[in-house]
Amino acid sequence: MKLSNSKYLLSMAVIGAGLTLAGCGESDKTAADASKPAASTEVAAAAPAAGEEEKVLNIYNWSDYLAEDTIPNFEKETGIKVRYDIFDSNEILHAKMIAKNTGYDIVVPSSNWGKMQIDGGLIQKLDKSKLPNWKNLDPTVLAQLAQLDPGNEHLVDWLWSYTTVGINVDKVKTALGDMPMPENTWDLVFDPKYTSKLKSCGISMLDAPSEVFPIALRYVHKPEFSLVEADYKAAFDMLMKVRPDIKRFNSGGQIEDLASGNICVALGWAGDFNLARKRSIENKSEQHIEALVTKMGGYMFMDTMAIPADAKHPNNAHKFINYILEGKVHAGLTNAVTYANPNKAATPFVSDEIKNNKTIYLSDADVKNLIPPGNVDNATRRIETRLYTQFKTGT
Amino acid sequence: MATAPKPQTDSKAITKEVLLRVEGVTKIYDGTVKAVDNVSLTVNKGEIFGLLGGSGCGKSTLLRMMAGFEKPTKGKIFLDNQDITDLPSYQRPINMMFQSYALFPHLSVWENVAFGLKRDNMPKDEIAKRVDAMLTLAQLNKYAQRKPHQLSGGQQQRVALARSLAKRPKLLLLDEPLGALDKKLRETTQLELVNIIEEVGVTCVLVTHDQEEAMTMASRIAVMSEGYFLQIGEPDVIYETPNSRQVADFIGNVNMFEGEVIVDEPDHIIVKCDECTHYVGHGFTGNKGMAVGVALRPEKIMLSKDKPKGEYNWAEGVVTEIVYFGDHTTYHLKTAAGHVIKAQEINNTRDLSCGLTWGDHAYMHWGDLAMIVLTH
Amino acid sequence: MNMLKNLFQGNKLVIGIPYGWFLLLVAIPLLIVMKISLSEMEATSVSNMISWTNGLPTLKLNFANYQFIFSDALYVKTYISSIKYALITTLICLAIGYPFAYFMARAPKHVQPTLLMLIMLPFWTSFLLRIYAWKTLLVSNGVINNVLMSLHVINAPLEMMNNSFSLTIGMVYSYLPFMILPLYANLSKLDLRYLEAAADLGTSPFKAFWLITVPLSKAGIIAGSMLVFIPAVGEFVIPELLGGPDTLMIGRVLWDEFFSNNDWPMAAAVAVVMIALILVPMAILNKAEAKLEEA
Ligand SMILES: Nc1ncnc2c1ncn2[C@@H]1O[C@H](COP(=O)(O)OP(=O)(O)O)[C@@H](O)[C@H]1O
Ligand SMILES: [Mg+2]
Repeated sequence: MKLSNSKYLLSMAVIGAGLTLAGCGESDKTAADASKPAASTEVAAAAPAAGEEEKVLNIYNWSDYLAEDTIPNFEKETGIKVRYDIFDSNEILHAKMIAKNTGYDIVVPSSNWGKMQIDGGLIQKLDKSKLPNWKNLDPTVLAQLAQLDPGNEHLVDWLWSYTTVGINVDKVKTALGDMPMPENTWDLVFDPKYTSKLKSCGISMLDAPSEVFPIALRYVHKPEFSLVEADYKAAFDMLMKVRPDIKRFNSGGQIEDLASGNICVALGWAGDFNLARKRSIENKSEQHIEALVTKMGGYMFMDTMAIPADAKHPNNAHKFINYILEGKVHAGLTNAVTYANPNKAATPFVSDEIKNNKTIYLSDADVKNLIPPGNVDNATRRIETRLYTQFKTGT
Repeated sequence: MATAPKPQTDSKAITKEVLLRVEGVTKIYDGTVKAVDNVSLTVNKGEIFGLLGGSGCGKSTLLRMMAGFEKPTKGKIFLDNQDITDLPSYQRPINMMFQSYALFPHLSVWENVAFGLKRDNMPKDEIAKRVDAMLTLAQLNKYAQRKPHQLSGGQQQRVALARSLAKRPKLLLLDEPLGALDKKLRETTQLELVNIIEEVGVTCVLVTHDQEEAMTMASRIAVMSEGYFLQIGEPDVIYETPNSRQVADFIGNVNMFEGEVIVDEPDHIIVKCDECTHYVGHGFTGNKGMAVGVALRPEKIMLSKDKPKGEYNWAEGVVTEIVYFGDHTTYHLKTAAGHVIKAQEINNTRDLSCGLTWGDHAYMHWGDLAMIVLTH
Repeated sequence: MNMLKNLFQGNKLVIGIPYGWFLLLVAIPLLIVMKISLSEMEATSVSNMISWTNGLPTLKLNFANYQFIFSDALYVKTYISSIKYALITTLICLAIGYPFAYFMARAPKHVQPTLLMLIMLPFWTSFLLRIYAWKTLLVSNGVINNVLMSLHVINAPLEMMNNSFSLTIGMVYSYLPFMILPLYANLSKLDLRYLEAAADLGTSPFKAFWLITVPLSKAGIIAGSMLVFIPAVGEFVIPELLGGPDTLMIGRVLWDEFFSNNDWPMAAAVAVVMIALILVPMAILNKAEAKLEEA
């Protein structure tokens, strides 16, 4: 899940297109959808007779989430021409899905968003007979995912990571002084005892209420996906105590801030912390960055492949999913972006450095510790957003 | 040699009280354009001084230097014997009425007139009194609350005048004050303007390109060309005795004969031209054999069908054009030498033709003091 | 028949074009937004306003969103804060832009096109890039701090980023041309004889500026201020990139409603209230001014 700020410009365009669509009523056909890939329309015009699917596949995925050879190899293997568009946030993908007629055959929402889309009837069921490589999938991960998608009928994990604490080891040591590292490393961002010290070298918090609240709720011993407003108030009160010590709210950009020494502690994505680590090693900078695996557990997120209900090329989409599930292909993704994959057959092909990194390839126990992807209703999301806004403004 | 009555210098200035003195002023724009070239003049208290000249001759530039909008490149300007050359315009007790009025569009007539008074921190009630008096003078009371764009051209002109007079300036500068009005309105306004100015008793410098306007309004006129003065004097003097071909040509209509002095006596000279021989009844500064111009105003020429007596001061030609002006008629006659001479006859009878019509052969004759001999 | 004839008479058509434009690009979208604001969000779609019961249509209008906006202090606070930042931006743009436009208009005629070009030059670069550039200037290890530190002007980096300071800088920087251009257009048309007339009547240049130049450029000031103020109120990108967590702007709240809360009707209601907040006072101002002109 990689955010960058260009999402906002995109989002404005989506708002525009979305409002138009919504305004034109619920008809799926009416809208001249600006966001629809041009290629698919062109090809559609030259489409062969029904039955046979044209050799085209439209994919909508996160940016920087591929190995260089992933697509070319698929095209070579199948003769299917891939059109690959990227997005930067679940929110934007979701808005497009709601507006329908995305023109995509594969989209990659995070699993909790995927669930909303399933509930809205926006995603079609997988035909597992077309996915012989399904057997490669790790049952642990499948079980985690099944909590949102019972029977794993719609979503297939692309890669996964988790929200946790990342630190600049030396700076944190200096800032804490005599104080030892806490038993529960979440204390580094949630306990004023620690944050008041770490304030000096900079604390950054993810600007994503739906990812911070499950952790904060668990921290104050409430259900992670509680639907009770009072629970959120409790988590909010806890957060407000550390608010004066927080330097920054980031949506992405923590990689830079950590690698350059601007901040020393971050609540963010493990994958990003490992990228920051990789980068500071490559740049031979003195910042020693580490993702922490907390005892209490972080918030697991999976970015999952799904086929929109109105996809024009579902067969090709299945072919693509099956291709990704090949061990070698899936390992290629992991090697490129340092995110873990759910594919057992891939493990032999994953580079040792990544395989041995306990913050990427978590132990089974650590995986079990994670908060599995979950979801709340719209009303609760509103409470989350509202409280988080208040938290950010500090009033 | 005989002395001709040619006022080269500004003789009357000496006898009266001088208000404005311009001494050797030159203005060069952008290092190259010489707009005003070494000009000197004096303006007496109470007089209306006209600056007359064709477009682009530097009148406005000279006026703007008096107002303080332009700095002279060389020379000095004195007001009441005080050197004001370097005084910024807002400190000069001089007001100007602009060529197209420059009334403040966002202010009412009343506020426009009061504008200058407010800058002097005059008490409010006095301002009100003064403004009302000015509006009365300019017959504008009814329009006090209007904005300039809601007024006619003539009304705007009067507002501009009222505004420039409100501060009771020592000197009033008028740049083409009637230039924006149509001809009919201009004639009535000329006199109105003079009346108001005389009622207030302010000294004026008036810029115009219209010689009639200058003649009607000014007590003295400076004729300008290419940045310098050709002649300064009372309107009648300039009209009757221009000191150069250029002035003669500029002021009113004139027939110009080129010739040679063949007799030079103290009391008369004789000039031989192509179509006639002039006998001039006074002497001149020059000598025999000199090439001169003889200027003859059309209204000084009489027409007849019979050949005049004597050998001097007549010419003959064929009528090629008759232009009827109502009060007078102008005839164009072509001489054998190919020149066209204009003659003007007053229409004091209802017999308009004076017996002449197109193609007629006619004689022109004039008195021996009718012409002006020009050496420049 | 007659009506049809009237419709196609030349000048009616000419008048009709801007109205048609307005209808198509402003009125209709606005109506759609209003319609959405009066519906309810279902899981992944907006509710239908008209439902059919027993073959009869029932119109269901949901005003809850508007009620909610006024019941939760957050929105009111955010509107006030947005207007505050927009006002500050407008005033600073005016303070910087006016002298800028003034000297441009007074510059020699032959350099004016170049100056104008320079004002518009930034538009050749992506807006987003330019905002990012400010980021690199303002961050604690950014250019400004590095220079000041190496010159020993400061010991610790100044906190210039992600607060109201960086937000204001970004907004002023981005909107300044929209202030300068109408002001320049206005000031370059100013007849300098008015200033001469003022000087002639005893007004110092400084006074003349306030008494003549400023009132006569009122139209330019109003146009420039509108061009800055209106988009600044709803500005989203700059507060998102340069603002801090505590700089509340309605654009961000709108984004949250739309994307985080997935509540389109609420987002639409927030937008409608924002438009009303800007347009209503402006319409009143316009009317009052028109009346003043008439009197
Ligand atoms: N600001 C200026 N810059 C350069 N040249 C000028 C300027 N003002 C006037 N001139 C030139 O000076 C000459 C005299 O102009 P002006 O005084 O306006 O003439 P007038 O008022 O007699 O028509 C003209 O050739 C004009 O082009
Ligand atoms: Mg002039």
